[in-house]
Amino acid sequence: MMDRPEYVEHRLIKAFAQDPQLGELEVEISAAGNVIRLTGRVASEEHRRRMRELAEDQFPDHEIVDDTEAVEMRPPPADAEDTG
Amino acid sequence: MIRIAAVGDIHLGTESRGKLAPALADLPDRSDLLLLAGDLTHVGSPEEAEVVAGEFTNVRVPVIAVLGNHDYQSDHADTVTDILTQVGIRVLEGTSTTVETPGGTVGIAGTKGFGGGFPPAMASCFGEPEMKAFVRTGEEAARSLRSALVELDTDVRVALTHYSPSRDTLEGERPEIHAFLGSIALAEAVDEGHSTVAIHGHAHVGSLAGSTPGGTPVRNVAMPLLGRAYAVFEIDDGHLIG
Repeated sequence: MMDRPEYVEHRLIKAFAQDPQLGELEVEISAAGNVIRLTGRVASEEHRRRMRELAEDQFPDHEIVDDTEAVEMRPPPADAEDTG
Repeated sequence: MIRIAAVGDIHLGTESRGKLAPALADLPDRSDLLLLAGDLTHVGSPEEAEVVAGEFTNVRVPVIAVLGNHDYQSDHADTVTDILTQVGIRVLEGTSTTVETPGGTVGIAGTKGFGGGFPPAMASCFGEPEMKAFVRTGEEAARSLRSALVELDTDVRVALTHYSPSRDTLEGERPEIHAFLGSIALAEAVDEGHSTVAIHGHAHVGSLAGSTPGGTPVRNVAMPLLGRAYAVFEIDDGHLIG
């Protein structure tokens, strides 16, 4: 019963928000069958790893598909932004 | 066969005295009990609670209620509860009660419930204390509902709330406010408590019927949506009919 997709998503939304190392609110989680897909942009590669750990710990029978990407810290432009 | 009448969001004011009672006159012929799914008053004043008490004094079936957000507006929810209790209405908040009917025993577990939303658009217990308090209030209501349900040893278990335990019955309401109309935490409580049916109000322009993720039938009995004094649900052999 508690492996229903909505409940899986609920548990991971809570886990990602409340984990002391994460505080991630921006991840989209979709569960279907035994597949959990994570999408969105997260703070760092460390966050991606931690999210996968949490998902695998809580749902060891599910396949975790991680389509998230870490926000890149690119250097600022040399000139002022062109806002059109 | 067990017959359960239910309505929510009757929003009685001091101007409403005597307006609902005539529609309840034949209730004993049609139902074994009556459930009230919150928002019984406009602003939750003791004067309005007296009107509600008067309308349900002579219905001649057991009346079980939860309060709604409107019933808290004047900060007199305890007084409202006392006034309703004095005329025999059983007001539940994280508690349960049992009704004996010719068709079997009915256990009703009730809470007002609270918001929080449904995945993916749900509030998280994160950030400001006020946000955490919002989410924890909803989670605590859900926990109390689950506890009250699992304590019931009856033929039928009914979860009675004001806020919705299903996104289905919010269909028709603007998605932007779904998080203020119900929560996935309530749905989990309903499913984990092995409810026969869940009955709620609050969503005036939502949908009449839906289910939880676990498949428990959910019925929205908000009077503005029903368009009549109450709905009647039949339960046979532990299953909701229709």
